[in-house]
Amino acid sequence: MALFKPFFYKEFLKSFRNYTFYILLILFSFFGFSNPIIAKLMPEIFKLAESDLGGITLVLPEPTALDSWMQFFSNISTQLGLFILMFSSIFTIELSSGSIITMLTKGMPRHLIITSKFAFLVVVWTIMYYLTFFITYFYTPLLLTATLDNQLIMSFFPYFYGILLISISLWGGVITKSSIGSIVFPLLYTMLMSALSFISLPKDFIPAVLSRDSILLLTNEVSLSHFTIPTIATFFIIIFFIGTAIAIFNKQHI
Amino acid sequence: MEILSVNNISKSFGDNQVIKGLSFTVKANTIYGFLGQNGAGKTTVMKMILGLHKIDTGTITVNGQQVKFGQTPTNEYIGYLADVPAFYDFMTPREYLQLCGKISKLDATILNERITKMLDLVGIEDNKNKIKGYSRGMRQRLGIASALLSKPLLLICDEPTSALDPLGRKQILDILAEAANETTIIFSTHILTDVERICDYVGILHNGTLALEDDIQSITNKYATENYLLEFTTNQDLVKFLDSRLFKIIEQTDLSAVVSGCDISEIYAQVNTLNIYPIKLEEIKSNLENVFLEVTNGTV
Repeated sequence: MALFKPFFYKEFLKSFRNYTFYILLILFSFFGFSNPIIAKLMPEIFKLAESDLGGITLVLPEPTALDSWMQFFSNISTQLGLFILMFSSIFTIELSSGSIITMLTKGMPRHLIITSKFAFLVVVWTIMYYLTFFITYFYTPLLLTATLDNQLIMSFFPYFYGILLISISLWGGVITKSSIGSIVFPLLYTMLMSALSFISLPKDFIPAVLSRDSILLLTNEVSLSHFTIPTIATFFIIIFFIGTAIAIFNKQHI
Repeated sequence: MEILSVNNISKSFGDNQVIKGLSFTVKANTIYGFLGQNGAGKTTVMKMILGLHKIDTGTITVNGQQVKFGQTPTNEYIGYLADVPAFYDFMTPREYLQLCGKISKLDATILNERITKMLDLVGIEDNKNKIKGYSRGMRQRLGIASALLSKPLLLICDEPTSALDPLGRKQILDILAEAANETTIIFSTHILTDVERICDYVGILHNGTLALEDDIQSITNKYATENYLLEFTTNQDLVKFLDSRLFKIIEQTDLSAVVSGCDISEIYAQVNTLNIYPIKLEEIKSNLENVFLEVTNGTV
């Protein structure tokens, strides 16, 4: 812990000084506010498009809070993509610049470099994700009506799926020693999950359930137990990716 | 007492065997000049000492403890200065040294005092300026401050002066010479004058092994031969002189040559016999450069 803390703090200091933290703060706040606003304005936007539809009249129901949360879910992948993109070089920049060599020669164990970076990413993701969530949570009732259940519980599952993709991004950076790997591997994983979603047997058990089906909790179409196996699977997959990232890094020549 | 002991180590990259059964030791409180041409494998050896590269065969011990690839316990005895040290540029020098000190497990109560002392030693102002704006010389000096912060038993410097101008080189060598009072230094370089200036012992890495190792004075006394520079008015005269094959040719141009393996009386006798007379005949003082060239040319 004595070595973990200063390295973990260093990551924060960097994100403050290169403005990454503040940029994400602004972007994720924007998404939080935009969810209910876009849901509220959607009928107006469609009405503006009516003139291009050759006289077809669109009859749209009054937007509700559920539309705001649907917007929240549809934006998560974009937010996660931005997050991964902004931190894609968190590991590889240290290798390419050589700054990691100084830390290793000072006696910093290799596993602490991976775990402190992962912990930093998880903490920042938690702050950013829940910033968007709580802005949507408190702002939606001001603009839209409808009573929804389970919002707080529901919020955990896409958040946890985000941590899984962050662990894959870090793993990709370690095994390829390139920030491209940090971007490509989460993308490949998402594509794999999409493909598995079409196969009947695993589709209810894969981690993608966490982001795909969370909205069904709001409308009580599924129960919490629906997420049990995917959550456990996600936990072990995260452990697997971080564990193998450490094992691979331990064997790398620097 | 030996701080560093390298025992019969070998290292290959694919089919290319870079290090072949290398062995040497470094005694405490000495400066060991580790010489070799570019690409000789000096950095590979340094990285094996630091546990950053795997050793194929052989062992390395630092302060009696064996170095293990990928692990860092022996690095607690070592300070490392790279040719172009990399830092966290968003930090101030004090913030960076605080990070280094904490990772080196320095006592918090003495860390700030030690940082002040190190910044003073290397001549870096303790202000709020970020490292990002530092020149190459300042970076090298901060690198030394970082390497010496934890009072290492062994300071490894990998070509620390190669990227610096003459003033920067002098500053670094002065700092290293002062640091040698408290620590043992292994100094990798291909700049021979730097070695002559500060090193006690020299090892010349060539073809993956130590071609030569001794203290500087012994090396120059033992191996360096008397060399002579001769310059003629025509190339024909030079060729005629060299064709006698009485001498070993060290260097040759169109009108001049540096030869060894003879004494001055033999040269006089030869030019008299051939009836050719050089316009210049000069004895060249032996130095480490001659020895290095001879070793790397395979004549020692």
